[in-house]
Amino acid sequence: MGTAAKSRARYSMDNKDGLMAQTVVDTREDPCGAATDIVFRQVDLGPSTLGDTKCLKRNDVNRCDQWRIRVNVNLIDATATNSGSEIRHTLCHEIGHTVGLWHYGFGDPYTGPADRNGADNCLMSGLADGGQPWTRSYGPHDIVAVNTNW
Amino acid sequence: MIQKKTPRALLILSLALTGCAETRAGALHADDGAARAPRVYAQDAILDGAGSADFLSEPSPRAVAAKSRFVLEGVVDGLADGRSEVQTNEQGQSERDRFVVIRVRVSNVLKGSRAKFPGGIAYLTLPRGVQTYDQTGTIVPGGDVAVPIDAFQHDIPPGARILVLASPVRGAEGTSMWRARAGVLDASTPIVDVSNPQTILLDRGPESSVRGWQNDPSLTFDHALSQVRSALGATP
Repeated sequence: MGTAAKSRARYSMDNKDGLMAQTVVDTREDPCGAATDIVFRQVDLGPSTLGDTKCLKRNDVNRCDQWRIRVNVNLIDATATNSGSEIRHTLCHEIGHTVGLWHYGFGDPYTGPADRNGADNCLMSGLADGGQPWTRSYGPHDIVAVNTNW
Repeated sequence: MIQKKTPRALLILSLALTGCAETRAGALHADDGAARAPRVYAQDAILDGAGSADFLSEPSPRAVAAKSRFVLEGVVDGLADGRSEVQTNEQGQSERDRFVVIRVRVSNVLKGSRAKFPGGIAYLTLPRGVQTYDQTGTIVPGGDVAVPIDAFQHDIPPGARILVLASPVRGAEGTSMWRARAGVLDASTPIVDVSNPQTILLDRGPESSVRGWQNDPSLTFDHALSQVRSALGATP
């Protein structure tokens, strides 16, 4: 990853504004190995995809054991007013998927306004590059959902 | 006498008219049988089984159509295994992003050149997950996270109506394409990328909204189709 994306990936993992305030995250930037939980990559994913999250490996109980997050910095640089803010938004958004959070907003296939639950958060689909705290953090209902799920 | 016969005559006339009406309705139904074959509906949750992504999104199908190279209306014709995008990871393993191809019988090219789709067939592609192989070519334990083609065939059956608002595919940078045109029977036709949830609208039934717009109940397949046709000045 480039420096801009890497520093924001670390920020998103350690972000004390949201999810990570609820738990302890031991963020390491070791070379990826079997014990790695999330592999981050900076990739040009074409003219529409800001980032994606896919499971690479499942564990014995069929839960995802290793995730891959890709961020399209080229597209973000080309379309966002504030590129750094959008990288943060995209990474926060994709990390949210690794713990089971889902979208809201246009582009969202299924869930409705309830997923927003009165408070915007980084799971909003599409560009959210304004730099407001909600663009890089999770909402109270997200925290509840994660704590319930895990 | 005349007064007594009139109600009976009216009753006979009424029965005759009723019978006639029933016959005409039945005939209309029978004549229309071929054109009104039972609709086939899709279930589109399968499209998100391969992972999640964040896209540049638009507030309406009309807006997606405006920025898309192709807008195609048709029905699903079949599915096939598609290409792989391959990358070697830090451990020397081969990460293969697998794709499925959806073959579409195009009834109406609302935007783009019909000549691009010889025989009226278009090929769409979207991700179906990742498989990770070790250096001997064996899938690593837990490393088959791709959705099987069979699952797509079950949920996206032939005959389901589809509206495509999309552009030609471009592979992810830093990966190599393996069997780039797998599942595509025509060597020249463009392969259309429908990985963005707003670019592939499937008919899920007359009371179901299309995906991509927060389950807006007013945005059924027919409404979306009508909106896009209207925006592009197209006729049914």
